[in-house]
Amino acid sequence: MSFSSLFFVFTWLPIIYALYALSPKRLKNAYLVIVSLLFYSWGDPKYVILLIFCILVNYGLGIWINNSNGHKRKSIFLLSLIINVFILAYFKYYGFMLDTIFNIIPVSAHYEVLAMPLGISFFTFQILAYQIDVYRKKIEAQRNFIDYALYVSFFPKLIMGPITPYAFFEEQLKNHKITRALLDKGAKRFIIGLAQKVILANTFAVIWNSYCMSDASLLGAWIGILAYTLQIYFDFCGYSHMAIGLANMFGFQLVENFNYPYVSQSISEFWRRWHISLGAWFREYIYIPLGGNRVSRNKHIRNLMIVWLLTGIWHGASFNFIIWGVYYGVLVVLEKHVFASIIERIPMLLRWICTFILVVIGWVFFATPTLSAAFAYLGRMGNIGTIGVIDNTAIWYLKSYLIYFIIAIFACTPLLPNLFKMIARKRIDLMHMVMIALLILLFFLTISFMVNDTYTSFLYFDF
Amino acid sequence: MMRKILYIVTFIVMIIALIIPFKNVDKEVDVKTIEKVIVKQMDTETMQKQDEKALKRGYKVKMNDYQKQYSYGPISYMNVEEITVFYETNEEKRNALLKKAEEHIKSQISVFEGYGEVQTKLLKKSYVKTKGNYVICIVAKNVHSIAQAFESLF
Repeated sequence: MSFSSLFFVFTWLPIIYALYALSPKRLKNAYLVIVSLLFYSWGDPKYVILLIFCILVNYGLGIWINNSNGHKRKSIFLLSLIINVFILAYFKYYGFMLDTIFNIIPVSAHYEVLAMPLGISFFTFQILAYQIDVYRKKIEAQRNFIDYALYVSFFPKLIMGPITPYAFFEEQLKNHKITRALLDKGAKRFIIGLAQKVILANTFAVIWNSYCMSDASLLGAWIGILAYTLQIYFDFCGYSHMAIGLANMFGFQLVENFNYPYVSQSISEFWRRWHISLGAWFREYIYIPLGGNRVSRNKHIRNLMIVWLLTGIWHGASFNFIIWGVYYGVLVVLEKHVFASIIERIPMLLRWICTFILVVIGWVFFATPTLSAAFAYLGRMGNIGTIGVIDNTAIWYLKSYLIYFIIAIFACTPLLPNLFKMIARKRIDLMHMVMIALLILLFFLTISFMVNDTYTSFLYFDF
Repeated sequence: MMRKILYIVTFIVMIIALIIPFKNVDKEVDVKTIEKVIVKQMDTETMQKQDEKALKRGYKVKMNDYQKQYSYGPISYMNVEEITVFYETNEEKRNALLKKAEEHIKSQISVFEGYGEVQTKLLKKSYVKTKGNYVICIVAKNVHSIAQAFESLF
């Protein structure tokens, strides 16, 4: 089920929320587990069995690791790593591996791999983090099965994150309640996220879909990829806002996932602002155990390349994502080890422009289905294989969607929130009223888009 | 002892899981057989055979995006009925074709939504799927019976 469907907003959410608010405190977590499993199984119920299996197995293994010492502890931890990594690799990468193998070796083989379960990359990463933290004795294993099941399956973060560390969630499993402040904050974030997805991301999807494969002029190719750049941001950031907002409404807090990434002035900064929870996961469980930056220059470069290769692979089983990951690895290595002193001297505006263009180029690998399509598109961005510099279709798109581009560019920066905060410092009551009025307006505008729009899936559902 | 048993069980389950995709294979069905079965089910008054140019226009695909295809398209611009089948053994290319078929349906919906109620209804209940090495897109009144006939071949 998608947060941006009319059914979710007007039927599912009001019903489950009303029942949640009415349920007795001791049953609230169990109720949320049932709701989360139902949410997960909506539309395609078969993989809910896999989710329940993961919860059961890891609950038991977590306690077992917690209660063991020495070699035994290590051996059980290793078993949990093998099981979880295998589940992720099997559903996400096995088909890609078989395709690659049978493309290389001259053997004819027929196979059909199982479809990838929704959100598997997100919930297995959360489970892995939990098991590693229990093994490192950073946290105590959760003994209450319902609480553990809720940590893994809590529906706002189940499908697309944010990947929330157990230590951040643990206390909330015992002490969470709906408060007026959290409800206000949550509803506000949900509306903003919904608007970002429905009004902006879905609109830019229309532009990208018409440009991604077709012949284009130089201008058209840049309009297309800029549209995708904005689509992926508002799609994923919108979802994260909705997830965090929903969690707030139910009395929970989740970690932040975005912090205006397109204002970054370096690639490293971009990745500190984009998909923050995934970056934190890789830093905590891969980069730092490898030695982080407290090693020799060569080892540091190796560590960065490993992390970025894995980040690419995490996003999907295709050579496009591998190249995309390596591309960022190379950029970060160059930034940290080759151009560090030069970058410091470059004016801020130029730094921002360079970073933004490099990010846009990266999205080409992300957005296209094959490497040849990616290079063909990059060629069009350099006026190779285009139908000219400017064409009428590109001008039509630019004119028709200019207002959306302008709004989106503003919404990519912290300008508006900062302005609201500044005014609120002086006229808090007035600002509060204005905010409520604007949110109501935004909500109705979003609903009108939802009614008229056809369903567009979230991009990160594929990961 | 318990740990050893668990390790052994885990590895056995993993090996079985790795074999499943090879057991779970759809039968290889040739394009001609599929065409014969589908033509029997389809309404020839609303559809006619269309060439690769029409596919290029509608689906934005090039000839090297697929190995084989056949397509029956609408008889007029006001009709939306169609049956298009792509054959492609490369999974990545097949997924790209599926995406294009979905985008084709979406763009058709955006064209007809608002004034073509019947066409929009047909498009919204369209059948777009991959099965074996095929990608199929069906927009027809009897979409279920055509889809069933197609699936029964595998």
